[in-house]
Amino acid sequence: MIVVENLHKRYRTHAGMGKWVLKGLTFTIPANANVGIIGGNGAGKSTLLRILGGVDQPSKGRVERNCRMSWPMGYGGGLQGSLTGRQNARFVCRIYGHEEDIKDRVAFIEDFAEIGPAFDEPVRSYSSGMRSRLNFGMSLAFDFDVYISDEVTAAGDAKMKQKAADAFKSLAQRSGLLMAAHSESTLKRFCQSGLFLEHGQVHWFDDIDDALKAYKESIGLKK
Amino acid sequence: MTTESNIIIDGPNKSPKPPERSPWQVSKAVWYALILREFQSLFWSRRFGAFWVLAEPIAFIAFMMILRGYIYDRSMPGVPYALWLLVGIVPFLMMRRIAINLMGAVTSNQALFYYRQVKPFDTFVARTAVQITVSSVVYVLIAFFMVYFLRYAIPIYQPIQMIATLTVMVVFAFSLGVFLCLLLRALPDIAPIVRLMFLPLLIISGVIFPIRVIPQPYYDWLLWNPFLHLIDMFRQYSMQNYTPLPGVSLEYPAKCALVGLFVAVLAYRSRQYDLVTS
Repeated sequence: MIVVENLHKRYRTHAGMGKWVLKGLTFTIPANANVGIIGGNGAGKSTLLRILGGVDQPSKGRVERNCRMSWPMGYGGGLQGSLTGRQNARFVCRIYGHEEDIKDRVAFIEDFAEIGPAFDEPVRSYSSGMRSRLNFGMSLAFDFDVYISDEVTAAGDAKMKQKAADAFKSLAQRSGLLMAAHSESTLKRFCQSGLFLEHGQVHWFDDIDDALKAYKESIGLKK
Repeated sequence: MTTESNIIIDGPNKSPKPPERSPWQVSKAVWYALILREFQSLFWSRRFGAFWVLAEPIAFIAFMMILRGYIYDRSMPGVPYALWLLVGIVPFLMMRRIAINLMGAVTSNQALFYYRQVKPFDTFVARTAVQITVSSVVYVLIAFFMVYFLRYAIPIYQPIQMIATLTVMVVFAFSLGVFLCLLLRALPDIAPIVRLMFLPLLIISGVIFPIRVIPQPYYDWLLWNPFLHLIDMFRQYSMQNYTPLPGVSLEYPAKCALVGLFVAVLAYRSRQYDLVTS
């Protein structure tokens, strides 16, 4: 279960404090819920996921998580460009305290990522699709109660999308999922409920369809 | 359960629930992983990286020894210049390397803050540990060569005081590095100036030229520099018949290190979350 109370976030920029990205969000995500995060570009989806995942700290307010959360998987962060895929995978195994079975886990990641010899090349040479494959594989190698996906499937090819779909399906049985995506079908497929972010505010919908409807109305799209 | 897929995607060795780790265990795991990661980029970021990590400082020190030793062995009778330089330059280079490496610790590890276990402070700790290791290996290699092939005597007279001095050095350099890292975050343009500052520091700390020859009142001004105290204290422990510089103590740099650490940690506390966001 994740409890968010009066969450505010703004970033410091070179011109002082920026404007509020999130303005007083309060909501509760039940355990094992599969929630889609919806909102336009710049609405604060990634910011919210980073805060929920513990990467960023709220400027004000409180986040309480009584569960093991993954890092926000996506093609953006979490991979050190100068290290190879294997070195990155080993790094993550170590910080999660899996020094003893590091071999098995790295083998699993290599197997899942399916990026071939590139696994031993520096990550900076990867395409965004390869990055998200690796990042996705890395988070699946660990047991989390909640997985956070920030467009992890967006850059993937058909095979990656299929793999991700299978993974999400099997995860849905035992874990929660917080997912930001722009693809309506992806959201509908994996999420039951939705959080709609707009103007720094959040609206909770028990049904993802209602959330998508609200989003479309807000941008003036007919259903 | 849908029958859509037969592929069961599951990590290896799924246990019901792994035991919770204590904060200390998590920190230890993170430091270990970061130290290995630092060594990896040290060794593999350039061709023959592992060789150059040691060869670079060794070549620099050897060059200075040969070049200046030729002149100074005549002007400072009784004190072998090569040894005098070695016991001064290695600690100085260690402090410089710690400070400069900590400056860049956050930017070079930006991607890894994506894992919430990894905090900027951990990268400071890891980089400091790596630089201490590299400097120690450099020192031991050069000292070994000098003792076995050149027949120098490099004893350690006061091991406890020596360790205390080294600790103060590390704390001071660490604080300086953390502070510079935060400063550079606010003012990224001054990075080259900070780097250049270490060259005059090398000279006014008495690493290459003896400070003893400086007349008053300038000598007292130089005593404001904690590096000078640290270097000279360190020299006393490894050199026979070495007369310490007047006015040099461990107390002054230790105070500087403590105040510095306090300021650095305070600044870190107030800005740590800004460091994480790229």
